[in-house]
Amino acid sequence: MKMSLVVRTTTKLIAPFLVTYGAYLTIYGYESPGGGFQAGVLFAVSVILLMTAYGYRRTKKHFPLRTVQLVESASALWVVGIALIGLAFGAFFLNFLRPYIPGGTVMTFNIGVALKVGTSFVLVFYVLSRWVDRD
Amino acid sequence: MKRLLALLLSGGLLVELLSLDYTKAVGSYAYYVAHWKEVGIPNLVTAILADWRAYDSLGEATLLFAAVTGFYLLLGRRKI
Repeated sequence: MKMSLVVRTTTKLIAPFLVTYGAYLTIYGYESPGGGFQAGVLFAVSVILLMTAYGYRRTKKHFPLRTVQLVESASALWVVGIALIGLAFGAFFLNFLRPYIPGGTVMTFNIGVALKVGTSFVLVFYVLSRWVDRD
Repeated sequence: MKRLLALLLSGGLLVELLSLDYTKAVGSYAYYVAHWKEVGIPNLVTAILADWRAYDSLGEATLLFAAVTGFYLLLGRRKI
């Protein structure tokens, strides 16, 4: 399934800016409006745009299903790990990284949540489109 | 009649919202403003969302994980 030339060119132009804005929202989410969930949705939208414009088969070559699954599970472990390491320092979700990293655990937590949300939505779309053209 | 009712409702809501007073800190708002410095993050919304209420984001991540697992279990089979 392939869309027209206009859609493909516009997608190619827009996707890098979406990814850049998502990275900005992830990294600066602790001192400006933004956060993990919105950034993750932006990452997912850039991949889903590529998928609607170029088709599932061609997108799968660059973002394989196995890699997406791996990143999703790893970021889930990352988020839970940050929470549990805070428990070792005294409290659940304690900001133990604050003297070392700007933003402390908030920024690292945002990175984990962004990867988690983005890959989750991409995986849902992958599974759905694989189910649609399974036969 | 319906339009008049909607207008009255919106007007009453507007008056109610304009008469709210945010200058005095009561309840959890007072706690957040008083202990803001302990978190060390300049954005109060993020400080609440990702430090005090990080349980909420963790639950949301768990929910997404459960949704993806359900999708994969139900529809992930290659050939039926």
